[in-house]
Amino acid sequence: MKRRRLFRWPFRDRARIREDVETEVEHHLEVAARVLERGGLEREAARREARRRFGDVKRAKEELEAMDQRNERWARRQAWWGDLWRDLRHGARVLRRRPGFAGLAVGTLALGIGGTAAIFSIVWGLMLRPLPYGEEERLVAFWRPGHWSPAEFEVAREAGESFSALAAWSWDARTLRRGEGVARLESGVIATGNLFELLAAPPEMGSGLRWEDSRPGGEPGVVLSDGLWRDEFGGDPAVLGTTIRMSGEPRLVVGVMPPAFYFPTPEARYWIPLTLDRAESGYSGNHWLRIAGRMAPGVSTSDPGALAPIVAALGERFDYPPDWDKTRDASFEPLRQRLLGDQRPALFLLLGVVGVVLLMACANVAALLLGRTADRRSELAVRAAMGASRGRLARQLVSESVLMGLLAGALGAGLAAAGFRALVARLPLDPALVETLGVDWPLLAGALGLALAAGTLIGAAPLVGVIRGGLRGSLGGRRASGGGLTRGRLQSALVVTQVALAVILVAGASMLTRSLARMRAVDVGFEPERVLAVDAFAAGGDLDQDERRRFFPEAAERLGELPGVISSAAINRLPVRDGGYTSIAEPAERELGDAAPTVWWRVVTPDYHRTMGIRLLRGRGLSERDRSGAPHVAVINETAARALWPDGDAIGKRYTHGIDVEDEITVVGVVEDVRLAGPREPPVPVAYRPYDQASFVTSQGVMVIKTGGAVGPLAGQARALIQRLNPAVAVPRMASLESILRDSMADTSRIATFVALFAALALALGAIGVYGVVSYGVVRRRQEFGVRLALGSSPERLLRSVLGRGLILASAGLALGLAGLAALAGLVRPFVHDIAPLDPLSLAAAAAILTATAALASWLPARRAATVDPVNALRAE
Amino acid sequence: MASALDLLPGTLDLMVLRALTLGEQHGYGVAETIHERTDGAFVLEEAALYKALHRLEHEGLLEAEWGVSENNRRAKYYRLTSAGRARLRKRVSEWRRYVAAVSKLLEPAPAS
Repeated sequence: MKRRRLFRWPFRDRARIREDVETEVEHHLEVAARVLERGGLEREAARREARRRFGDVKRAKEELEAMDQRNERWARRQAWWGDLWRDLRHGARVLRRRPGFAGLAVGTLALGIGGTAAIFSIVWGLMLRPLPYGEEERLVAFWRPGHWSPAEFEVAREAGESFSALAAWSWDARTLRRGEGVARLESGVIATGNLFELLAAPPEMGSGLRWEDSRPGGEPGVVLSDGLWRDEFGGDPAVLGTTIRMSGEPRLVVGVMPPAFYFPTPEARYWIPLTLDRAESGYSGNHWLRIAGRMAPGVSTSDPGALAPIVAALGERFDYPPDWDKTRDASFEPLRQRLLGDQRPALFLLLGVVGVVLLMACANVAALLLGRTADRRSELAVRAAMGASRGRLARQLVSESVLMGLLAGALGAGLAAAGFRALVARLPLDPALVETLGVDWPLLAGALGLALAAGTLIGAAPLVGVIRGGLRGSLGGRRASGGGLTRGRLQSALVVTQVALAVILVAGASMLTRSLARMRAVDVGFEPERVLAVDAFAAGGDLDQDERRRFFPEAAERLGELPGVISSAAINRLPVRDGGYTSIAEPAERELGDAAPTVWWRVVTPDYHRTMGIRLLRGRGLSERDRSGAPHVAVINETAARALWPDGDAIGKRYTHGIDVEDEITVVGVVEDVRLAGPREPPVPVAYRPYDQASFVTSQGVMVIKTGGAVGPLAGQARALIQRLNPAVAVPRMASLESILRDSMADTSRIATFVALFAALALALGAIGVYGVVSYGVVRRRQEFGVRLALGSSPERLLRSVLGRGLILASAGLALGLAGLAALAGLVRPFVHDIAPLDPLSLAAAAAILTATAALASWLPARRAATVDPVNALRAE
Repeated sequence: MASALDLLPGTLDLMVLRALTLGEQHGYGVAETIHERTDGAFVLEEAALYKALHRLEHEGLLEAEWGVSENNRRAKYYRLTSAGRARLRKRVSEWRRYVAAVSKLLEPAPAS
């Protein structure tokens, strides 16, 4: 039978092994020599003979030493793994004994690890992963504000010697219609033909676009994304070289991009050439392009001087008004930053939040272990007395935190994997970009390792003191009070940190919640209830200006005949969701010059304001009589009336509008303001014009339908009706106005939910921390309380003093947290509107919540202190 | 005395284990026991013997303890572990079968 050895031979170091071998061999030689001497040999001869018989003594010693060292190392490793296994089993038993606390610790750690890993995966995917272009670090985007006209682009291109290439591009939307099927709207990019060359991204198939395609008379080609090619053409290579119908015009398919390629985001599913035609009216007047460039070899991407020749050429060629002066503040930024920069604020905030929770979870685990070490002082002392090394003891204790770390890591990895899709769908990030991401497993492994390391360090730090100093006095059963004090201080520090972290999250959450509440309370100026918005896209190749001018009002009218519909109307751009056209307007009777206001421009059917519930304040609404040929009229909103005619009534006044017809337009009515740019933005001046009189009608139109019943069932009928009217018109989307309004606040609302969830978690952790440290203090001072009660102190006084201790910790944490918040406020700012970045009310709310929680967490142990039985307490020690 | 024999590979372990069945001994004792019980038939290089002792100790067939020798010096004493005893039994029976088989082969061919 195998017998377990009770004591292991202590491990030997190098010197000890050498000594042992030396002693053993010399002992042999000595005995052998003595025997030979006894046999009659002379002493010296006997010794020589003994050595001869032994063999090469020196070599034998060396070999034995080397062998023993090898064996020793092996035995040590064996013992280490064996001990580790024992420690882990021991740790598991300990954790099982306190399942609630351990579960909480592991659970929060898992949330922290899983959350951090998931968010880091996103950060890596969006911010750090190279874009799918060759030498993408040499790509830059030109400066804002304002976009570029084709003329400006060509001037920049001629003067851009610091760039090996410049390309102009813009977002684009076109219908795709195959045969007599239903038209579908696709998003894509219109760009100069050198775009792919500039990006150093060759197509997977076909030749792609070339610079020549942008010359007047160039071939109208199209390059498809891998996704569009698969969805619409079944991944058939034969589509290459065929002609497809986009927005009613034939286009030759000249390429398909590889699956990983995207520009500027995965939402763009095609690329068509932009024609630079000097003869076109918009050549120098329309500013709608963005410019991307590739730095020439040898030119630094951080050299602003690279733009000097371009700025000089622009200044020479164009006469800029002060607001649109492109020769001022010329700069470029890395293309990556331009394409992905919008995602940054949300990512940093999320990273901050999960990071804080991870920190709190670590502090929580440390507190848990700290509590355990104190309970085990005598056990440790016994083991130390029996010869266990310090490292061995520390490892035994640390193995518990390692075990928790492993559990949490596994759980966190599972959480990250299972919840990744659900998580990213709820984050305020571009869905098309996020689509391309997944959990980054190497990264997750890294995060796990980091968490383990952090847990181990945190677990080990408090142990050092215990092992070094506190053990000697512990064997006798009396606790060494010095060690206890150290523990108390450490624990207090941990709790203060936890409270501080909780304050940051709670304050952040209350700021976001308050901001959201304010946004929701904003009167947007229209009544979104039971209104369905149906988008229709009538492409230029299918319906010309006059046809569109008739189509949208007719579609609106026909939709109005659907059962249950109260009223319906059409508008070129929906408020809140869609941006729009703006330009400078001036009253007819006086020149405002630079003071002329920028007025937004909407084209509507007469029933628009009634359908949307926008009240008419003065004058009349638009009517069927306001046709082409009739005098040009407009209804404007209050803000526009105030901006154009600050001193008098606007009704009957005339104005001119840059974007509209050249004739003067007469104001016939004033309606109430609408938050056209969303609930966050103040009302802007708006002019509403009838379809028949507007200078142009865009491809996009939105029909709004007010119904007496539910909006949902109406959607299917609306789509069918529009496609019956004209199958070439695409209906890209339909949504209730209420959901559109909700979506406009989705970023803030998602962030607020996310932060609030984690803040609640942080609050619970903080409360547990305060409870732990205060109740430990009560246990430690039981005897003292007994004496004080015996000497006539009132229970209320004790209660107050214990409560006070909890509140002191809480205030320290509060102060620290508020200081931290001041430093971190920048993270929340992009999502907070209408309130100060450090909103005092939110801070006060956070402080009140934290104080109340801390008071409650201290009150429970405080009551125990007040009800101590003096006799028992004094007897106990 | 006939000239001394060289050891066949593997027999040293067998001899060491067997020698230690007589009780705890230090290295010199083991060498002496082997010498005496084999009537000095083998050339036993003592360096190799010690290497065998250390190896067998590492394999857990022997265990060692420091003690005081007859001449009052620190000496390392070896004894068989139960694993060592089991190994010896196995090796002895193997050895017997080996010797029997080889002997059978070497016997003069029976006249036929």
